[in-house]
Amino acid sequence: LKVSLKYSIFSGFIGIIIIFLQSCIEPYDPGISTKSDIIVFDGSVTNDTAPSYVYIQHSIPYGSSGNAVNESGALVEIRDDLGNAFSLNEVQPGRYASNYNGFQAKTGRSYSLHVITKAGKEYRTDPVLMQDVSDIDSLYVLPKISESLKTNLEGQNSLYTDAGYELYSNVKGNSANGSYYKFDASMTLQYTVIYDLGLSKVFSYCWLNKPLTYPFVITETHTLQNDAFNGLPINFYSGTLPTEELITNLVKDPKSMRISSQGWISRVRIYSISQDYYAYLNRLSNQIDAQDKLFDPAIDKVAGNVYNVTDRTETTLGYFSVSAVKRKSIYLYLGTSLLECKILPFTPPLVPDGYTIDSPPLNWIKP
Amino acid sequence: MQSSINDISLKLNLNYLPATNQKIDIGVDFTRYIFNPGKMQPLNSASDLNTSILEQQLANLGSFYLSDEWTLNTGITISAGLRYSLFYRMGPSEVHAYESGKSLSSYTVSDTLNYGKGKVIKTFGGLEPRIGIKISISDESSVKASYNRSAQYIHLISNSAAIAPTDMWQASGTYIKPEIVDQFALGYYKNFNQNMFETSIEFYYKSYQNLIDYKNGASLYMNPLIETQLINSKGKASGAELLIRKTSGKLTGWAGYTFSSSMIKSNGKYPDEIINNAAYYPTYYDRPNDLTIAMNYQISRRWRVSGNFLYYTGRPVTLPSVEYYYNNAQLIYFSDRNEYRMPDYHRLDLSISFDGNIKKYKRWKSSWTLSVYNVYGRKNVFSIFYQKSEPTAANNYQLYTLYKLSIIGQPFPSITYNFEF
Repeated sequence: LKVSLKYSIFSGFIGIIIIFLQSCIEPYDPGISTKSDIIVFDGSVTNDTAPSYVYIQHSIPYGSSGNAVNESGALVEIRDDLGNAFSLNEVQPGRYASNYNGFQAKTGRSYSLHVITKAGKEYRTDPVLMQDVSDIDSLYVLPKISESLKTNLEGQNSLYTDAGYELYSNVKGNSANGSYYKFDASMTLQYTVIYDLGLSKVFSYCWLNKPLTYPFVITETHTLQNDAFNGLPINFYSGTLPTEELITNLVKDPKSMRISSQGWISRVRIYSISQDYYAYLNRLSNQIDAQDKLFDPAIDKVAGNVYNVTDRTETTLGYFSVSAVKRKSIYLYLGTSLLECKILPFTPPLVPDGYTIDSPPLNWIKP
Repeated sequence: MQSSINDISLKLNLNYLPATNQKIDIGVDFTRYIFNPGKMQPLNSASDLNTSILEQQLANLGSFYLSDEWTLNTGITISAGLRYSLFYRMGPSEVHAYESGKSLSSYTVSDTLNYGKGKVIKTFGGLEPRIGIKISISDESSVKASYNRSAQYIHLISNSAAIAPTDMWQASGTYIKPEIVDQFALGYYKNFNQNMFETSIEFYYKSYQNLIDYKNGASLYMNPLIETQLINSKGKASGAELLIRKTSGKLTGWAGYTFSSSMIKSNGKYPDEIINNAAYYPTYYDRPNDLTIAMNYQISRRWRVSGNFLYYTGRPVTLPSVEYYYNNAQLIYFSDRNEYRMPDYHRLDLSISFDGNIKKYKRWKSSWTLSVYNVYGRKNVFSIFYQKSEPTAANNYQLYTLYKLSIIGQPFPSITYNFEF
C-alpha cells in the first residue's frame, strides 16, 4: 500500500481564492494604434410628417480623446421604388434633412439611401419596404427597483439601486402587419419653478429632456400566434430627480427659488422595422450586454447596411432604416417633491419636442 | 452551470507476434456517449434564475483497428495502422430543419424533426490510416517520420482558450461534422556524453477539416440552436520543437522551445459564415513562442533546489478598434478576430526541498518543500474584457473601458509536507 498526501493542494487552493478576490482586475491599455476611419450612417425614413434625417460622421479610434468628424458637403438622396429622388439638405455639419413639404414616405413603398461624399465616394443601400405598423394599445407603469453595477476606473464595481417606475407597452395588431418593432420615446421631466427676483416673484414651467434608459428597445412577434405582445419594458423612470441638471436650466440671479417636480411626459413611438434591422439592433444590444464577461464573450463586428458602390468590402457602420411609425403619450405624475436650489447662470428652459402646453395635462396619472 | 460527457466503453485487443521483430495488434472497440450539453440552475432560492436544461444527446462509436510494428535488422522500424470508425448520432432527439439557401439562424428554422429512441439521426465513418518510420543512424541518433489521420466526433464548444464554466460538449450530428486531422511529423534525435544529454528537434504540420469556428456575436451558452452559431472551418498548424534534457549529475532538467503557428479559416457559403474576409487568422491557441525550462539541483543528499521558468507569447485576442455613435448610443466596433495579442506570459517558480529519512529500507519517508510560485510577481493576464463605465475626462469620456484579469499576480509561497508509507 502506498499513500501520498500533499497538503500543498489544500493550502495552495485557499491562497488562490484569496488572491482572486482581492486584486485581480485592473484597467488595461492595449495601446491600440488603429488608423481606421470608418464612415457611420445614422438615418431613417418614416411616414411621419416630420423631416427625415441622415447623420453622417466618422468613427474615432478607440480610446482617443478626439471628436468624431462630420461628413459635410455630401450629396444625400432618398429614392423610392417609383424612381423618385428626394434630396436632403445639410442643416448642420454632417446632418442632412428632407424638406418639410417635399417628401412624405408611405407604407407599401420601398426606399433606399444614396450618398456621394465630398471625396467622390458613392454609398447606397438596397431598397427597404416600409411596412405598416400596429397601434400601441396601452402604456402603463409599475414600481420597480433598478439595480446596476457601476465600475470605477480601478475596475471596482458598486451596486446601485434606484426605486422608480418601469414603463411598459401593450401592442395588439393585425397579423398581416410587420412583426418586427422598435420603440423609442421622448422622456421629459416637467417641473415648476418659483423664483424671487427682488421686485417680483415669477412662476414658470420648465422641462428637462432625458435619454432613454435602454438604448435599443426592440421586439418581434413572428413566432407568436398573432401580431401582439404585452408588457414590453420601454424605459425606467428614476425615482431620483436630476437636481443638478434641473438647476442649470433656471434664470440668473434670483434671490431664492423653489422647484417642484410635476412628472414625466413620455411620447412613445413604435416603428415597424425590417427583419434585417431587427437583427442588426439585436446584435448591438447583445454587444452592449456582452460587457462584464470574464470569459471572452464572442465578439461581434456589427457592420451597417450602407455599402460602397465600387468597393463592397469597405466596412461601414450605422444603419439606414425605413419604418412606419405611430405614437402614444403617457404622463406620470410624481407629486410635489420640493427642491431648494442654488443660483446658476441662466439657460433657457427646454421645451419638449412638439409640446407647447404651459400647464400640467389633465390626464396626469398617479403611479 | 453544468455540461458533461459520459461514456461507456468496451474494448477487445489481440496481440500477435509472428516473429521476434514484428508485432501485430488487432482490436475492436465500442463506446456509448451520453452528452449533457448544458444545465443552468439557481444557486439558491434567492436567485431569479430559472432552471433550464438542454436536450441530452446520445451517440455510439464503433471502430476496428489493425496495426503492425516491424523492426528490420538494419535498424529501421516501421509501424503502420489502419482504423475504421463508425459514429452514430442517435435519438431520441429533436433536429431543426432550416430554409434552404439561407444561413442557419433562429429566423430560418422551417421545421422540427423528432427522432425516437434508438433511431439513427446521422452516421459518419471513415478510414484513419497511420504510418511511421524510425531510422537509427547510430546508437545515439535517429530520425523519425510519420503521418496519421484521425477523426474526432465530439467537440468542445468554447470561445475561450481558458477552461471556463461556459464550455460545453457537443456530438457530431446533422450540422456539426466530425473534425478530421492529417498530421505529418519529422524528427531528429541525438544523445551526447553517454546519454547524459538528450536532444531532439521535431517538425510537424497539421491540416484540419471541419474545425469549429464561431459566428460573430455567437451566443453559445444554453443555446438550443447551437448549430446556428457555428461554422465548419478549415485549419492548419505547424511548428518546430527543440528539446534538450540532462538526465544525470547534480544538475538535471530540461529545456524546450517551440516555434509554432495555429491558424483557422472560415469561408462559409453565407456572409455570416465568413470571418476576417475569409483569410487565415490565428486561433485562440496560437503561441508562436513557447519556452519552458525546468531545473533541479541536488545540493546535498538531503537538500535540493528546483526552478521552473515559463515563457510564451500572449494568446490572440480581439479588441475594440473604433468608437462611434448610432441612435445616440456610444458603440464600439471591434478589430478583426484575434488581431491583437495579450501581453506575453512568463513566470518563475522556485522551490527548495529537504528530504527526511533517506534510508533505503525505511518504511516511512517524508520531505518538506518550500516553494514560491511566480517569484517576481508577474501579473500575467488571464482574460481581457470590457465593462461599461462612467464617461469622464480621466477615461476620455469612454463608455466602455478595458480591464484585464490576472490570477495569482504576486509571489505565492507554499509549504508542502510529503510522506509515503
